[in-house]
Amino acid sequence: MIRSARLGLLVACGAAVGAFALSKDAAAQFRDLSQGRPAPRTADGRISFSGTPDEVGNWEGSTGNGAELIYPTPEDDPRNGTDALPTNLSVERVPFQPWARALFDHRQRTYLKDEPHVRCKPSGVARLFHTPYGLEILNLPDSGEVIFVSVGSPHSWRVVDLRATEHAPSPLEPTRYGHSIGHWEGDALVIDAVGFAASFWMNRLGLPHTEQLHTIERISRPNFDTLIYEVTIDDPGAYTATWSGGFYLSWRKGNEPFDYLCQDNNLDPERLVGPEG
Amino acid sequence: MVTTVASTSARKRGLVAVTAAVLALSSFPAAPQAPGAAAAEAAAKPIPRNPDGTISFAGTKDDVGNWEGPPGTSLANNVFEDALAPNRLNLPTNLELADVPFQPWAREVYDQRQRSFTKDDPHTRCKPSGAARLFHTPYGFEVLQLADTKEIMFLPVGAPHSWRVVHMDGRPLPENPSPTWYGTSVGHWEGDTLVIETVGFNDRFWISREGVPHTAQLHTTERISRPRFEQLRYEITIDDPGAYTKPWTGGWNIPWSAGNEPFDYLCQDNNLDPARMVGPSP
Repeated sequence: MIRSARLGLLVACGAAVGAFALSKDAAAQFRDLSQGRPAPRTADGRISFSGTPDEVGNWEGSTGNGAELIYPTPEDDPRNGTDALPTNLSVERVPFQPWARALFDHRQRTYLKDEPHVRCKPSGVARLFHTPYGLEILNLPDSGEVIFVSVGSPHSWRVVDLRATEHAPSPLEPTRYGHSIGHWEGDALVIDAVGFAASFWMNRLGLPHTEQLHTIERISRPNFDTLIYEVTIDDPGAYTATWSGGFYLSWRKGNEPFDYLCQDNNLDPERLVGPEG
Repeated sequence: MVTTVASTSARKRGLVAVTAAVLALSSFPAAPQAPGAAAAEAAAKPIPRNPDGTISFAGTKDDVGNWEGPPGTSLANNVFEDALAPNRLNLPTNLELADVPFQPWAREVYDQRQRSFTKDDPHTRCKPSGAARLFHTPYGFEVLQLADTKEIMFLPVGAPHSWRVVHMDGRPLPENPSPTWYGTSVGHWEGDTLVIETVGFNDRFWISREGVPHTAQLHTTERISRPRFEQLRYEITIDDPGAYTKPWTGGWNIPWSAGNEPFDYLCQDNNLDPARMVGPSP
């Protein structure tokens, strides 16, 4: 009951934040999304996030180039060919609780050497969306699911349930992808997720969270070659207020899923070094 | 211990005949034969089809579920020393172990894996379940048929939470593929049977749970059909001149598990099993 009351409040807050953060006009400051081929649609008229019979491809999670949820340093110029959304916050404006900021800084100081992703753990939210080697988004109307297939890292996948209207009863077994339910708002897929484990990092920069994390993600495809990913983060365990961030992903024509497998002779962790912090 | 398997197989073969008759009633009927069976067939749920008319291997809007990989199934019969009868879900056409055309070294590897209680199974080290192994991994697998991208994907829920792609766009098998756990797969339909040809395997997985070995020369032909709503029939022909003297075929039936949904099982998340997998070191 407490949880659902909090969620209700959060949805209202999220909507207010979203109205600002997710406005198309704001996004258009950085990219002219009115150009380009129209996004493909499925037989039922829905936007398709995948390829077409004539064009294989998938979404290449950008590495660097601002494809983060925040601007990592105040001096980063977000207006310079970046994949960041124009509404992203600089790190100074992220409403960290003090311990969360200290942990974020620690991860930065130690050059991210302890990142779970490189130990073959699933990427979690939103790390999934900027993992290299491509991301496939499978829309399965028959089973009422959307499945994200992540090609890099541990070769894993995440399911979003479009039939459910509320989350499974508490306590949810915490997992790296959480319990995700989704619905369509026009041409945007909106995903509400809870039940996250604390053991992943939310993005490549090491944004921390707790098991109280609740996310609302919005995914849209304004034209054939662009995906907009936005997430509102509500975690009263780590942040003092809800906040949003996101980035653009680019369609990579010709990309196909292949057998990348992190846990196959993974030599990276011992090569990841940095100060003790 | 090897001789135990060999010497008991004749006795077990006698049991096969007996149990096959019994099991014909209790396991999936290949076709309705008795009047009662015909009535049951008439009342059976229709097998779902995709908009393009192909058989669907998924659930329906009203019927969530997936295929629960049955433990205990095997590509040949009586592969375990303590087996009294073939697993009831094994295909009736499966070979006896003694009839599998192993090359001598492959039979030795197989016996070594059995003697050591399959303790070295790569699957339990969070490696993907190549070839047939995927089809008897617990916690279910989903079959996604993606018309727009002309792909079929298998999503096994257990083990390392991975996926396998089959290209349905008519491309040929690759000439010189990079070896991987799932290989490179192309598929086509023969009537209502999905036929998948795969090459480009690495040699690091076990073809099935009981430790059937192979080399990177492996070429598989899998035939998957859904004779009833609740039944998936899986059959694989193993053509590997590096490990066998000729191609051979085996498989099993896989029950539909109503209500099963994919969930976040993740082998590599605090995997404690390998240290607990013990057995003789032959």
